[in-house]
Amino acid sequence: MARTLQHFHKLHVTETKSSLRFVSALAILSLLVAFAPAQEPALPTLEVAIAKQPRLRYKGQREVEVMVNGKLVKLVEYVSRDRDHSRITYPADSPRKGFIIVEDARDRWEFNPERNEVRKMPRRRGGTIMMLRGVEHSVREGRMSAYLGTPDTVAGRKCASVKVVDKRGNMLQRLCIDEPSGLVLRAESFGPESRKLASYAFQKIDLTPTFSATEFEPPRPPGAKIVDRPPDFGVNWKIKGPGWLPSNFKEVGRGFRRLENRPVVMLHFSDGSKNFSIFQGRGPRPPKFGEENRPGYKTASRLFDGLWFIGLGRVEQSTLERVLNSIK
Amino acid sequence: MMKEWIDKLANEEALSQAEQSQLNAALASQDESGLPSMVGALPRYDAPQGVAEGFENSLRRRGVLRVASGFGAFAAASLAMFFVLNVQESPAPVVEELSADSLFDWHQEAVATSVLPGDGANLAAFSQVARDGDKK
Repeated sequence: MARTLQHFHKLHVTETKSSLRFVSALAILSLLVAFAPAQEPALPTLEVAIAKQPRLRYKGQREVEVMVNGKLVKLVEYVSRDRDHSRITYPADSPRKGFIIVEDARDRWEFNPERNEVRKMPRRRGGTIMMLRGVEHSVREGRMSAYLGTPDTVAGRKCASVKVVDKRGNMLQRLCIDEPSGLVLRAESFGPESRKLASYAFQKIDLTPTFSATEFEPPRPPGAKIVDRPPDFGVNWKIKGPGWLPSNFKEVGRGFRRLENRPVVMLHFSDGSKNFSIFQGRGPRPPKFGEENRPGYKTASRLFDGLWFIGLGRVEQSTLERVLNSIK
Repeated sequence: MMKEWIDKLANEEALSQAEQSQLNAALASQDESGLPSMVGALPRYDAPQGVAEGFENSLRRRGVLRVASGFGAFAAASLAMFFVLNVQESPAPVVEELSADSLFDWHQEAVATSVLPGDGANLAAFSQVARDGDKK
């Protein structure tokens, strides 16, 4: 009898100990959740930076990285900016040595020393302001989230770190913003599996610069030919663009690629938050897409004037079709 | 009678003395008649000259006909081949089917450039660098 009682006593003590352990674990977890730093929304930081963009004045050196045909290409740029005027030059050891890019509120001039020509084009975009507005719109529409990370230091200046993630939590962009000036000192863009696809980071920055009187004059090297049209990449057809674009969309980039050694021209369009590309090349039929599933992407194609066109992006199918049908 | 003796000899039967004497006598009288030499001097049988010439001509004609029909068959076959190869509808030129999957990667690269400062080396500038590299 005494033995049985002892056994029950032991059991009771063991059960009490287990319950106590469980309750204390629960309490610690609750405390951790309660005192964990909440992810601070970055929207106010973005808005302040957007507001300050038009007044930016600086001189600096930045390193630009971009993926081209799967390879990360790096360039160092010397940049001067006085509000909506900018001038870019390159170091002597750069593949772009001697190139000069000048932009004002309306135009862009690119001097190519290898061809001794100045190409005049419409200004590409508001650059950083367009990118920041795109992020802001996407966050407001709930397509992305932006929150503040641990502050960082870039080019010797402390900056607010903004992380932009999609609905699944994938990192899309990481920005370091100098809050007093609004200058984005570092920006990185990530693709699938967090692969870095493009970035730039200032290495040196002077936010109280002085500019020469001719700093933002369009380049006019002696004997240079002035070409008043966008680059055609030397392809043997006239590059065609759409006659219609959705509201707020602009051509923000134009590139040349080789698809199985055949020339392909890519025109890229964006409204800051959504993007699509139009590809064109010579041939009796457009290239064929494989079986791989690309959720969210829409594609459309058209044959016209001996050329194939493919529209591709995360926009409505009807939008892509309308854009392609507006090509004349 | 002589036939019976010859049959016996052919069957290797022995002739009686009388039969042998009678046979010898008959053969001797045959020789004396001069008939064997007369038969030996007769010309051997041959086809008439006209028939033989006709046959030779026919053979010659058939040879010529065979060669001519051979040439004809060859010409017909060549003509048929010519039509098969040249006159039938030309096959559509073989067009290599290009894969568009790279376009997705290029689009993603272009989307990623949205973080780049627009006043600097943009998409066009970079692709120009890549293009010059291609030429090398």
